[in-house]
Amino acid sequence: MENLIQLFYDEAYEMLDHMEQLLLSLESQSPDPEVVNALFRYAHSFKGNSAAMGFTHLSRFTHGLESAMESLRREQRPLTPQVTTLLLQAVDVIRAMLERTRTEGDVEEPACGSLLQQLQVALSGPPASTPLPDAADKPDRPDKSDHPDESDPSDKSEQAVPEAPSGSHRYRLIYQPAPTLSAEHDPLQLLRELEEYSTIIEARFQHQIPPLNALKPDACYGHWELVVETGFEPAILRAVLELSAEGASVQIDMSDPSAMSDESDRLDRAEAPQPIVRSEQPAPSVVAVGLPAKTESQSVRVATEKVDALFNLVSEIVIAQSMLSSAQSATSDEHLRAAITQMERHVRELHERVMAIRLLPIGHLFNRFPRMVRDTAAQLGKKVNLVIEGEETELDRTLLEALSDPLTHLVRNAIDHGIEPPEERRANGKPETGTVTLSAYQAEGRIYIVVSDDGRGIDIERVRQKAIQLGWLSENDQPSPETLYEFLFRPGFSTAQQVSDLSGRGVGMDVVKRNVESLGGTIQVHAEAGKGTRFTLKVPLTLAIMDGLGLRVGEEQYIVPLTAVVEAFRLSDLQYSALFEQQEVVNVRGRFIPLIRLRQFVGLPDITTSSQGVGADLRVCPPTENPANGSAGLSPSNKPNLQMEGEPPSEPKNYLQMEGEPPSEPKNYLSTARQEPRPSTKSSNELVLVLEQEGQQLALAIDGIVGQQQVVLKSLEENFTRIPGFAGATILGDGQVALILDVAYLIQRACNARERAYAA
Amino acid sequence: MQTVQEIPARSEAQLEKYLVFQIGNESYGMPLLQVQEIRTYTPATRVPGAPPYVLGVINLRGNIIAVLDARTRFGIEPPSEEESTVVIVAQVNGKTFGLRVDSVSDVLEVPMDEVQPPPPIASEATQRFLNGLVQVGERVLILLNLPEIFDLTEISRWTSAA
Repeated sequence: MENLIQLFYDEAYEMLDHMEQLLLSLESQSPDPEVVNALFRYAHSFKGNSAAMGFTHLSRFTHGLESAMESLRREQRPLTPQVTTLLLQAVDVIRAMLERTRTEGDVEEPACGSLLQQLQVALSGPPASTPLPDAADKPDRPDKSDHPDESDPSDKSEQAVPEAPSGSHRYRLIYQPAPTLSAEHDPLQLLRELEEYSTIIEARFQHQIPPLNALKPDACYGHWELVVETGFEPAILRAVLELSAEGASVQIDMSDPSAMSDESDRLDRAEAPQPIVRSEQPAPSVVAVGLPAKTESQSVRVATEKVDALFNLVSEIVIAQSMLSSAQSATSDEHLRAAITQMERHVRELHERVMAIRLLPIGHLFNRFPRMVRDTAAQLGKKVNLVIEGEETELDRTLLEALSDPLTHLVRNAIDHGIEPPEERRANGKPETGTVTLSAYQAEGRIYIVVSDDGRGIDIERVRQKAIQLGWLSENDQPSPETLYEFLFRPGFSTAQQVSDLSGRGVGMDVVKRNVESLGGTIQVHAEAGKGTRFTLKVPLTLAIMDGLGLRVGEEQYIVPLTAVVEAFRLSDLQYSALFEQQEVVNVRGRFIPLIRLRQFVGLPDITTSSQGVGADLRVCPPTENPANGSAGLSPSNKPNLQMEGEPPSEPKNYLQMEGEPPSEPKNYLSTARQEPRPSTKSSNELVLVLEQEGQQLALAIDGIVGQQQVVLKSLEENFTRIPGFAGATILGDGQVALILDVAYLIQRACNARERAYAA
Repeated sequence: MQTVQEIPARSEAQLEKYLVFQIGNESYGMPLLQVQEIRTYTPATRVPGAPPYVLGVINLRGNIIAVLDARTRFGIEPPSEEESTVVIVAQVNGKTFGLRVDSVSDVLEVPMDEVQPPPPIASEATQRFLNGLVQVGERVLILLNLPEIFDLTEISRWTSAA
C-alpha cells in the first residue's frame, strides 16, 4: 500500500509538471488541439487515480476540470490567456491539495469551487471570433457528450487518437516499404495505424516484379498507393508511416489525387474520388506528432546516503589502487602487471561513473522558470520570452538546489529591471517581446550558467552616481565599468527607481553573490546600454569536489579553495609591518593587507624567529596555545623542514633593512612561476598567498605550495566536531587526511585583530 | 580476542560482552556492541587547536574520524615509541571515533550485577571516565564511560578558544 501511495504521488506530480508545461507551451505557439487533448487526458487520469486512492475532494475537483476541458475540446474554443491562467491556477490548487493529503488527508480546498465557476464563465463566453468549421463536417467524428473511458476498448481509438483538426484534405500517398523484405514490417498494421489518422479512400498495391533470373528473393518490389482524407498535416502522416516502418519511404502528393484513377492496374476502389473543398484554415503546428510520447523516466530512486557510501568506498578503492600501481614496478610477473594495469583502468571508470550518479541535468532547475517568467512578466505588464539552452548540462543535485534562489533572483531582476515595457521597446526599435535567456554549459571542469536579457542594460552613470551618493566614490572618481559593476553586488545598492514588489529593495544582488561564492563559484556581470545584461555564474560541478591548492607548513599539508587564491608572492619581496605589534600587514601593490602566518595559526613554531634585536622588535608573535611554541628562538624543527626543500637554512632577516629599499613591484609567483626567483640574501622560503573572499583580502604566509588538486570535501562534523578555521577535510592520494582552510574565518579573524589593534 | 572465556556464572544475572584492552598493566573494558573494528595505529592528521589527547583525524573508508589517545586522556605517561598501538573504532552517540590503546586482548562476558562503582580514590578528572570495576576471574576490569571520554563539548571548548 505504501508503494502504491508513493506511486500515486510520483505520478501525480509528474502529471502536474506536464500539464504546466503544456499550458505554457500554448502561450508561445499557435493553439494545438492535441495539447487540449493531452490536458484533458491528464485531468481524466487524475480524476481516476485520486478516486482510486479515496481522495474524493481531489477527484471531484479534477472531474470539474475534466468537464471544463471537455467543453474546450468539443467546442474548439481557443485558449485565451485568461483561460490558461485559470488552468494554471487549477494546477496549483491540485498541487496544494496533494500536499495537504499527505498531512491532513482528504480535505476540501476552498479555492476549488470558485475556480471551477470562473472557468465555466470564461468558457461559456461568446465563442471564438473566428468560427471554426462546423464539426459536423467530419463524418469520422461522432459527437460525444460523455467522457471517453480509457478502459473501454471500443472507445480507445477515439479517445487516444487526437481529433483531426477541421478542414480535411485529400492526399495521395506512395508508401514504399524498405527495399528488403527482411525488415520486419507488417503492412496491414501500418495501414491500420494510418487509418487512425485519416480515412483511407483508396488503397492499391503496385508491383514491378523483374524476370525470374533477375529476381532477388528478399527484395521488395511492390509499393502501395493510397488516397486518404485527413485533417492532419501531411507531415504527421509521414511521421506515422515512417515511425511504423523504419527504412520505408513515403511520398506525399498534395495535387489532385483523382489522377490516380487513370492508372490501369487497380486493385480495389472504395469510392470515386470526390471534389475536395479546401478550407483556408491555417494548418495546425506540428509540435505533437500523434500521441505525445509518454516520457517514462527509467530511473530508480536511491537514498543519497547509499550513493555517498558507494562513493566513499570507491574513493578508497582508488587509493588502494594507487598503492597497488606503485607496487607494480616491484614485480616482474607479467600477468600481475597486466592485471594491475587493467584494474587501474576499470577503477578509474568506476570512479567516474559513481561520481556521475550524483549529477542531475540542470533542466530540473530550469524547468521551474517558464512559469515564474510568465507570472512575473504578467504582473509587470511586460512581454517576455524565455529561452532555455543547455538544460542537459549535469551538475550535483545539492548544487542544483542551492542555485535555485540566486537564479530566481537574477531572472526576476532581468524581467523587472532589464526588459523594458513594450511601448519603450517599440520606441527603441526593439521587438515588443523581450527575451530572457537561461543557458548552461560545461567548460574547464566547471559549470557556466548565463542569465542574459536583451533589455536596457545597466546605466553605468547611474551606478556611479549612486555609488557617490552612498559614499563609495568621490565626485571625481571615474572607475572602469568592471569596477562599477562590482558595486551592484555590494550590500545596500539598488538602482531601481521605484521599489517594486518583486525586486529592487536594495537587497538581493549581494545575497546572490554570497550564495554563489558559498558554493565555491563566482559571478560576473557584463552589460551594454540599450542592448542587454548578462550575468555569468561559474560554479563547480559538484559541491563535494572542489579545486584546492595544497599548502605546506612544516610537514603538514593544508588545502585552500583555489577560488579564493588571488596571487602568491615571496614574503621577503613584500614590505610589511606590525600594527601596534599585534597585527602584521603586508603591502601588496600599494594596498595593506592583514597577514596571517599559517604556522602560527595552526600552532607550529615559527620558521624565522630572529635572535637579532631589531627584527624581533618588529615582529612580535602573539603567544599561541601550543606550549611547544612558548619560547622564541630557533626551533629545532626548523631544520628538517628547510632541508626538505633542499635549500640552505635562511638567515635571520633584518626587516629594518627592507624599509630603506625603494618599494619594488613584488613578483607574482603564480603567474611568473618559471622566472628565476630574485637572488636575495635575506630571502626566506616563505611564500605569501593573497586570498580573497567577499571582496576582502588576506595575506597568508606559508612554507610552500604543494600543488593544485581536485579534492573531495569531507565533513569534520559528521563524526567529530566543527573546528573553527577549517571548512572541512579531504583525503589525499595517499589516504592521509588534510584539513581545508576556512578563508572567510581567517579573514574575519584578521579583521578583528586589526580592529583590536586600531583600538589599542 | 575472539575467544570468549566462559566465566562460571555465580548468578543468573545478565551477562554483557566487553572488549578488553590494555593500557600499561591494567585491563579496561568497553561494551562490545559499541565497537566497530580494531585497526593498527597509523599517524593521524593533527587538528590545530584540539586538546592534546586528540591525536588527530584519520580516513576510515572515506569518513573522517577523530582518534583520541587513551593514555593522554587518562593522564598516563605516553608509551615508548617502539610499542605498537592499536585503535579501537567505536560508536558513541551516533558518532564514530577511534581510541588509541596499547593492545587489545579478548572479549569477556561481564556479569553486570557484580559491577561496583569506582572507588573515590581516583582524581576527579578521571573519575568521570569510569563506569565501575568488576572482578572477572583473576582479573580486575575497569569499565569505561565512553561518552565522557569522547566529550565533544569539551573538545569544542578547546578548539574555539584557539
